[in-house]
Amino acid sequence: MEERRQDVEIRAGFEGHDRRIRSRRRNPNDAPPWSLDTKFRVLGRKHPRLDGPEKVTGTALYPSDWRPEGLCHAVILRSPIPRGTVAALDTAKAEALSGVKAVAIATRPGRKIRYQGQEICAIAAVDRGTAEDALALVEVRYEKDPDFTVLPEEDARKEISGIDPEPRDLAETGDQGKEEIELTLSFETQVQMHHPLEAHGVTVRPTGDGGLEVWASTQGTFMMQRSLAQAMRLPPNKVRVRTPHMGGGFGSKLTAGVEARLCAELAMKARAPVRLFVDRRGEALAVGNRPSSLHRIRARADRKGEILDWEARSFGFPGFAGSGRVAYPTFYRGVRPPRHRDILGNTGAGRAFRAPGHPQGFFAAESMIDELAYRLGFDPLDFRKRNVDEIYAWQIEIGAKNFDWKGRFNRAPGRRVDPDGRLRGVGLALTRWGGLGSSRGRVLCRIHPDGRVEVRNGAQDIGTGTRTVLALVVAETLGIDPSLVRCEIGDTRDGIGPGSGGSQTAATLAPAARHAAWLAGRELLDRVAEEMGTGPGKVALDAGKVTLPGGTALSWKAACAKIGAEPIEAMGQRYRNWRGYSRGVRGVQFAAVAVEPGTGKVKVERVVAVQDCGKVVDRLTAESQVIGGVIQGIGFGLYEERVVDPKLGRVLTTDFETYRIPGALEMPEITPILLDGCNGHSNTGVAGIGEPPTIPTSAAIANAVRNATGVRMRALPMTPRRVFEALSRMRGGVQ
Amino acid sequence: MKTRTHRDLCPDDLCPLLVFKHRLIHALDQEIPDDREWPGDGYYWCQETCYEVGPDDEIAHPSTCRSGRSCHGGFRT
Repeated sequence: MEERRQDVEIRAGFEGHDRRIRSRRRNPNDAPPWSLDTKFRVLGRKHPRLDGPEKVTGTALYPSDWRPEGLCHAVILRSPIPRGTVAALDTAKAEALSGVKAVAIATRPGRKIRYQGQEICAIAAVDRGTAEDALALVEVRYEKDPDFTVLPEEDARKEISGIDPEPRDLAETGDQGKEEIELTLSFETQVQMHHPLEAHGVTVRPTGDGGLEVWASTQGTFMMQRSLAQAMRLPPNKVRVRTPHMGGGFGSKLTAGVEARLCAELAMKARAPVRLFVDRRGEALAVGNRPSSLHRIRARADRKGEILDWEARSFGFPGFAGSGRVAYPTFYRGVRPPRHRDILGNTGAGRAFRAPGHPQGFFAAESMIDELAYRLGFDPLDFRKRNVDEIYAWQIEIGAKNFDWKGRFNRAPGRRVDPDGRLRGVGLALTRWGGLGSSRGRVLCRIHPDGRVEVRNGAQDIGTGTRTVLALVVAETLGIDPSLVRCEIGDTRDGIGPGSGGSQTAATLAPAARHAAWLAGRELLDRVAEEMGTGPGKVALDAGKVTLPGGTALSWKAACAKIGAEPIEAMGQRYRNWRGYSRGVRGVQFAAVAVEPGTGKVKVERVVAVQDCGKVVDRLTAESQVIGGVIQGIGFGLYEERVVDPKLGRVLTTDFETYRIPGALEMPEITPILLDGCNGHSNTGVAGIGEPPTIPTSAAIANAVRNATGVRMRALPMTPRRVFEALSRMRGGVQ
Repeated sequence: MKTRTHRDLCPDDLCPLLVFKHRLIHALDQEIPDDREWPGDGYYWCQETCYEVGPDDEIAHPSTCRSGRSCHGGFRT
């Protein structure tokens, strides 16, 4: 075990890009921090998920799987109109139907309808079929308001056109022969839907003491607990939320949604467990989305490759509420955030979505930077290196070497046709995120006399491998084999943990797990010393063995056998972050594409994703995070798009036939390159990477299409039709 | 120029039941990189209704979830 000290100086950063940081530990009880000099036995390697066998054999219990005795099933009636009021609502016939157990009202008469899909009421019955039959018996009279807006983008386009007297596709206002050029370009991104594999929903069982047991597909067990307690007028300790596993969440499951409140109300009325999971159509209408955006950027740069001026306006279209605010890569010298305005409309509200605002803003800004490079005659990679700091330049070099940028870069965009008739090109884009964790976490570590180690925390695992991460941190701290550690999570009866938002979970809980294991290990040494009759401080934990005076040692199990009948328990805390090495994580992605000029179809052939994440805990799950982010970025870049009928105000893409997501055939070779380091913010130096890998992918693909075809794609997704039309415009001499 | 945090943008009388991501993940002290007027990412909802609309059928937002609104603090209070 390391010695406890109040202040330590550690080497943080990355090998070759490190510096010494004096860590002012705010609490001297915290475990000593790991650093770049720490020799790790467990961390940084590839470990299969601890819950992998459960997941692949189907024995992992998801909230939507839970079937308590006497379970009722609930469905939601949704508004078919985008705007108006509920004039009358009569549920009497539905309630009279045999098998119906309860009705809960979401929108009472006189209340506003703000979008198609708004929840009107929910019905619980003995089975789903009966609930759906009852739903058909509900009588609703709507007062329609014909003055609805489902495509506010049109208004913004007019406003932007008013700013630019030449609303051409590509308004080049500079002169390439001069030392400086000025470009004005507009960019657009579409609405992206959440569509997690497991829908939004809960199963609620009333408990005998007047409380609720809630199995929730949630990104925040404690937030769900607090929110449902408030909505149901219960003390928080009367609501127990359980999420042992859950099938994905990208920001829209951070707390209880309307469906959870309705389900809790139904369960309390029916005095029976009720299951309410949103159907796929409801997922498309009402559980949030990544809002669309519109950008107009004017930038000036010179022949030295310096961005001299940057002025941007952006619009977001978040539906009836929320924000479509976007983020730009302001780590580039000269790039500034846009002046932003939201325009609301009568569609489902936007919600946080994996790096909110970032994929939209980075697509626009990275495309602009790329175009500046081409117009100035620069290799886009070299142009970027001139405008970023040395860490980014280093990461770009690592990726470029692996990707073979120099060998793949197309020096004749649009003119080099490969033997298979395709145009090929490459592009890159950068990313940045925070993800350093919060001070909201308590992890229990329990060492049993038989040598087993138990780790417990109440937070959820949204699929990122939290169980495995906590177990590995504990194994590393105690110096034991990870197979000895069992981790239980997702129950609000255990220690508090964060919501999985902002890439915070691993960065928040890993330090608490280390602290817990460190405290438990100290207690183990004290008990062994007492048992062996040696003085305190004369025994030590080293590589999973307890060393004794005189050079002898006890194995882990032998040492644990000496603690007595009662296990050792320690509760670890997450203390506040120190200043650390950097303010977050960075990365760069490279994409190679092939474009069919006759159809406009884009195939991504390869992606190299360089990503730093502080200390790598489990290389396998961390690489999975990066690959998953890239895949979602490919979906955003090429396929996913909500389509709305402007006359009817209805969403037309309410299933996977009409809303395309990438499948196995669209997958490129994806190479994650994790830069293992130490960020120096906490005792583990771990940072989160759930969000940053999805930020730059669509921009990198768009830049690769530019390199392949000579065409700058300015709207997402880059469907065959959009690419074909852009190629046609170029062939016709208008770009 | 003094850097602004999400906490700086929270009105003193902000309804405790107004939820937004930075409040949920305890990141109110994060610096704000742009000129936004209100804290968080712009996504707000009410803990009472579990919805982007408050109990009074009006949108939940820091500009309006203030003292004086009929549902401020929740109907329980």
